[in-house]
Amino acid sequence: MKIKLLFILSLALLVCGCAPWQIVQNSRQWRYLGFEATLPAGWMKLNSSPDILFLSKDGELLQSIRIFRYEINKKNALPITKKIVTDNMLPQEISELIVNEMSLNQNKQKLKILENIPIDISGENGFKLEYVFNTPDNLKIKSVLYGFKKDKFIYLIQYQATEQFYFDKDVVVFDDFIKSFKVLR
Amino acid sequence: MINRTKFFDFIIIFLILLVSSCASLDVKPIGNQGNFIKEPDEERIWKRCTEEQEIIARSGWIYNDANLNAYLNGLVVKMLPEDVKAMSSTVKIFVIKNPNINACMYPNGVMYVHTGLLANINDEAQLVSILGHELTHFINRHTLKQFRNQINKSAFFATVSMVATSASGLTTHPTDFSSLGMYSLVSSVSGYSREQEREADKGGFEALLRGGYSLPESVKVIEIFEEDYKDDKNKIRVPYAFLDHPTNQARIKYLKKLCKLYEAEANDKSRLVGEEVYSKNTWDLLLDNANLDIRASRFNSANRAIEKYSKLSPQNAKAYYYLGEIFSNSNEKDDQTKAIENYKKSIELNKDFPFSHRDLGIIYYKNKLSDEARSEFEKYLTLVPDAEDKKYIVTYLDELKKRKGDKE
Repeated sequence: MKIKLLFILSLALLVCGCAPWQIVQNSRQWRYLGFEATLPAGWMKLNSSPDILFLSKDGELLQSIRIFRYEINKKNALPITKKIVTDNMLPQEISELIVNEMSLNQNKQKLKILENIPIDISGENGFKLEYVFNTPDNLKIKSVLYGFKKDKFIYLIQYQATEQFYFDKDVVVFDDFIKSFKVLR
Repeated sequence: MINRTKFFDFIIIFLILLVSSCASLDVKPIGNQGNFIKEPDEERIWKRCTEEQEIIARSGWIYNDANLNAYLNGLVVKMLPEDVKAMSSTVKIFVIKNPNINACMYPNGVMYVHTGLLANINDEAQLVSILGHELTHFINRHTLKQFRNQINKSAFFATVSMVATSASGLTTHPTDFSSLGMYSLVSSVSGYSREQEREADKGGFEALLRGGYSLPESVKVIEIFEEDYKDDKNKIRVPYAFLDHPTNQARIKYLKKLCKLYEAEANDKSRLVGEEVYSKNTWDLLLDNANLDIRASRFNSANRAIEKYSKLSPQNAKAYYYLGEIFSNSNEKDDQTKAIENYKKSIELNKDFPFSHRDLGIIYYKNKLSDEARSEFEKYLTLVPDAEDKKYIVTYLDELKKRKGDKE
């Protein structure tokens, strides 16, 4: 009887643990790969994402917060322009490579860069890009992208949402997320 | 075991189904039928094309140059064979901002030509050869033929599948035939057939012949495609729309054969090449496309365009700036020195060209040449006080001040 109960319990735990989307209960502290941040309560975390972190509240097409990375000196990290991010690049040069990559991406139509500025992310020199584009279905998307170099990677933190309604609604949540983001040393 | 009578029954059913399901492939070219009237399936294809073209129109990819557009659209109307002249308002050309060598024709007469194609070809005869090729797809209604051919293919396999099913005596049967049909359909859904491409090459050649243009240019233009394809540093493979084309070598061989058939015309040096008129109309595009080439790591193609531009305007600061950009972006050994040389040359030609100051400043900054970097950054900000990247430059100047303070 005990064995049966234990089996059912572990099965239930396993199933719950493997769920692709997991709700963030309260404001949870997240730590991974030497980073730390406070995850927004009520948002959903995608467990099966290839990204380092993927969060959304109402659905990934409506709004998302992502952390992902490109490997430095790796060929085809930027598959369209085939440019290589090198060790000695300044944040401005990296941001321009990313802008180039996006501008040649046919799924990002009418790309417009609203802001490209240098910033400090938890003591690391980086950049902040703000831009809008249209999807091939003519949906207007707005995005904020923070980037910085650490070890062998370029880390990118992105908030992206439909410009209509969702971007303004949740940009405050993203601002809080960025404020809480720390590079652990 | 199936008996003889049953076997003949199957054959008859098969033939009836096959014949009744076939769409007609007897599609006449536009010019051969007086007033052109679209067939119902063709009407639907054209409607779908218009929807797609609306997306392209609002995508921001269209390269807007009024003179170039007037030149291209004027030329293509002039090229139309007499019996198709009535369609001249239907045929339109748009230029797309894309550094890859490509052009495509929609079945409703709208043609898209990449800036990369226009930058890489050299004269009007080569352009006519390409436009003539694309027009042939339109005039001979190749898409409609392809579309019906695909429908027939899937209908054929559906028929085979039905007969096979009834022959096996099963009402539901996961036949291999139907999956083969699907595979065959999928594999043929893209571009035109090789036969149609050959027909289009012939059409391009005939356009040269009709217009009094130099015939060997039809071969030279394919040699340009081949050179670009071989050029590994351009880092692209065959453009998608050309995937169904016969190989460039086969096309060259075929066009050479046509030149031999018209030997007298092919050897006639008085026939029009149109290098000057072409250069005049595409001159501005060269540097714009070189910029796209650099962004897409097609450095050799960018280099060729700048060389071409420099022949017409040898002392141009912007051209030298782009040369500097090529070396600065290509990450090869010694390229930094070459980038500096070209930025300096650009400044020598026009000391007020801001971007050469900025990019030279960045190289100096990264190489810890603080005084030189400061001087270039300050010049840049004097020339463009509200530069979009002003905040970056101010950060560099602050850092340089800090470096100087540390030294002292």
